[in-house]
Amino acid sequence: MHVWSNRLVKRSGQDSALLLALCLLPVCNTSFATDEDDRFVVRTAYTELIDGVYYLNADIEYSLSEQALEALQNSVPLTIRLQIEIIRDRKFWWNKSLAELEQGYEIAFHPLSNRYIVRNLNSGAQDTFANYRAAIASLGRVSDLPIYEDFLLERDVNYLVRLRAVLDVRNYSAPLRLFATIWGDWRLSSDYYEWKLRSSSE
Amino acid sequence: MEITILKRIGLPILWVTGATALFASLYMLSTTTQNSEEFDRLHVWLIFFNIAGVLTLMTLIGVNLFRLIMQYRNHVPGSRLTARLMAIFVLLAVAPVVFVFYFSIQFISRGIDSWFDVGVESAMANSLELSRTALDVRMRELLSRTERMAFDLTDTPDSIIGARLDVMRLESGATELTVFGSSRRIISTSAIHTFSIVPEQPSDDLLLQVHQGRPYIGLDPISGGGLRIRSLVIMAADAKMGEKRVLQALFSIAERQINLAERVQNEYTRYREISYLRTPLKYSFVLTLSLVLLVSLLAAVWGAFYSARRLVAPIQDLAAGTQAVARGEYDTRLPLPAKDEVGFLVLSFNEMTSRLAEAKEQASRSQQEVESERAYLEAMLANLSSGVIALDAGRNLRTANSAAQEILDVEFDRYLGKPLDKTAVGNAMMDQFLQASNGHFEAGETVWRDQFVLRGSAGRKVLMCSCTSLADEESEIAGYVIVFEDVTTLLQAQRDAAWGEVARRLAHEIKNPLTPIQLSAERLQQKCYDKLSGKDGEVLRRSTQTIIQQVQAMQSMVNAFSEYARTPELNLIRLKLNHLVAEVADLYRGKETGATFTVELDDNIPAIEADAGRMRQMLHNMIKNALEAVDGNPHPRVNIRTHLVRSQEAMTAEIVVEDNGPGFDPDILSHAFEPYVTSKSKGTGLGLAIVKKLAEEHGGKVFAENRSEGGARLVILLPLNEDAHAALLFERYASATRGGGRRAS
Repeated sequence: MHVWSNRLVKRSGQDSALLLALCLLPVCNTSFATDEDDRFVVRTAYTELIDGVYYLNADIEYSLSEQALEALQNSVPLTIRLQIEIIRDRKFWWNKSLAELEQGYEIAFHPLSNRYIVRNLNSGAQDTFANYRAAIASLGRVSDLPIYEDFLLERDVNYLVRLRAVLDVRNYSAPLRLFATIWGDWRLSSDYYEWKLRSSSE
Repeated sequence: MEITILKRIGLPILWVTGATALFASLYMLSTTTQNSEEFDRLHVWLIFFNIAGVLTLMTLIGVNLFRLIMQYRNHVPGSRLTARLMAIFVLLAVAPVVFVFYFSIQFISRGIDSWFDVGVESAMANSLELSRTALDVRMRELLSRTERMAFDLTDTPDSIIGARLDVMRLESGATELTVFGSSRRIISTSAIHTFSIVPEQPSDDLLLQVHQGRPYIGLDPISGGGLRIRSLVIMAADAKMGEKRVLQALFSIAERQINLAERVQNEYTRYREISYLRTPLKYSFVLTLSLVLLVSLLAAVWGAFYSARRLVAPIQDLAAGTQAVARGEYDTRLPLPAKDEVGFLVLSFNEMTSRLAEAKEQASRSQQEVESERAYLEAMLANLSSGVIALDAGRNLRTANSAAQEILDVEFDRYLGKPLDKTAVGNAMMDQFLQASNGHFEAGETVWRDQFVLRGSAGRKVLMCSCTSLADEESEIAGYVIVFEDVTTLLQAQRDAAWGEVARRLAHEIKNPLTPIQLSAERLQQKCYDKLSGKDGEVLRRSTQTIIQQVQAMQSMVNAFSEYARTPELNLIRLKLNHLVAEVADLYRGKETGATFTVELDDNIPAIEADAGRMRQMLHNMIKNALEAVDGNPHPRVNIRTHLVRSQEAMTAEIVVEDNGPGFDPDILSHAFEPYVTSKSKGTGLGLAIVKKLAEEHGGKVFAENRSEGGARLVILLPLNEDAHAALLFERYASATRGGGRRAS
């Protein structure tokens, strides 16, 4: 069971700093960038309205880079965040972000049991897997994740939802964070997958 | 002023603040790199800030370098010295930094590698393996136990399977026993903790493994910490349903055993993590060190630029100042840089320019004084009525004043620097002047004084000349100054005065005895003529008649002289000149003169202040002179005209009397108005002299000239206002001092 809280997620100052640092290191950035665009892919995603609550179901394909996999096998836990944004669709103006939700997962290797642990950072629930593929596959199956309540939405307004998965490197120690910031192998994320939450005619 | 103060105070503060911030960030970056949590969150910001600092310094250096290159190409003074100093400073700064950087990188790389010993890693792995082995024995035993329980549960009805599980859990020491049907369906469960409603679910891969016939036993990390043993075995197929069931048993591990195993695992995990972070750590250290060294290096290079500029600036100022002095800008002052050797040099430069400026000012003052003196001399010479000619030792013309030009009628300005002899070309008067003066020069006289009488087309001119030689510093003759004065009019005035005296004496001494002589002669004739007879009586009559006639002639002559000499008060009244002229002319029209009179009168002439009687006499004399001149001409003609002449503010009335007689003899033209100067057989010779005297009594002027078409012209100018009076007075004075022109006056 996933536990959710509807909260606006502010982009931290550190994120901005990272972006600025990235801007200042375009050459470096380009040199080490790899084909990370296809690492995380949101295959399908949809929402269901059940008893006045919208539930998210998604199928996400994670493919870790060599660097990330090596770190995982060397007992460095990886944090993957699902970033969900509910948007008010406007015809004659820019769209407005209504809410940003984030669901965090941690995948770590447990040497003593020789198993991989997948932990839901929001609920604390965890599962263990014999190999990382099984762990990653488990991570890619999102089912019945409550994201928003219907009564909070206005009538006669179109709403969109978009989803993406991102490897979060913000909580690493300084050397690894810098390394992860510069090296493209560490900047793993999917494109936004966007669909209609509810149209005005409904 | 405020901007200068801001620049002077604000810029250093800005630099110090920037440098302090940069070095503080470098310190924090260095601390963060060593895994301190103090500045951990600022790490990326610090990297960014330092990279920005590096870029700023690089921009500054780039700008300075570009400026230096441009100055070098444009040969700006001091640019070569700056470049040399820059090269030395940069070399001195870069060489040690590069060495330090190289060895530091080597040290960091080897130092970090040395932290990770192969032996330690192996020991850690062995410890973990030992922990696993210790647990493996128990796990194998628990797996056997689980398999037995699964066997015992075979064919157990579902209604009692729960009770059986409770018994089995108590007997086996398990914390939870659960039987799963197909599709994870929970058949029954028994747990030591009753708060857990749902039993622990095995993951799909475990269920798959068990369904494939391979039982599972393994350690299972518990959420929130701790370990347990999970065992999964497949049960024999149910006889009724044919469903494959799975028995899951969860066993707890002794707390001490868990603590030890987890401690080993934590250390192992930590070691593996640090070992993995070795490469990023190296890069991080290298980046931090590179930034520190780059900042230091760039700061040193920029400092080199700054120092070189500071050192060269006074020299550039000196070079610019020297060029300014070379251009003649002696008021150039340089700012005093410091109290060092360069400062002393600048101080000396400023003293030098100060003295140069003083000397220049003094020279300028002297030059101004000389110019002033020269202007004064030129003004004085220009206004001098005497002619002045300055010659050099070779008698080349150096200067001549305007009076000299007027007297000798030569444009001396055209001959400056040329021999004085050249000025005589086409000028008879100048030629005579040169002949007279050259006589003295050729005689070796350097100082002489003489009176020259020059004859020219305008008549005779008498000059009083004096010449003085100029001596130079070596007492040799450097030139001559000839000063001359036209004394013609002066002599004439003297003659006029003499004639006046003669007339007065004649009137006084001769006139008185004439009457008794005449009376005596008449009485003698009256008394003795009758007493004598014959020839004696006739002789007496003729003799006394002769005496009487001659006495009468002498009386008329004496009367004329008396008229010339007398100077009674003028009886000025306002009269119309044209009326007076017409009245006098009409008197002659009626006479049997035989001459044709034409009178042209200008109606614009206003009434003038004049003595009517004397004006009449003046006009009579002029007309009589004209009539006498045309005597003997088959077509005698006399023209009388009046004109109003305007010149600026001056108004003058002009009376012109012309005849078509023979004109004035050039020899006597300049003396035409002197007494007893006449070419006619008749008359006293005082007519024109009296005209001149009367005209001058009215503030006017008279002159005579020959007409180009033949005949003579007498002109009288009478002033109509004060300006004209002053102008005529000045002309008269000028002609009296310099002599007349071609016209006699």
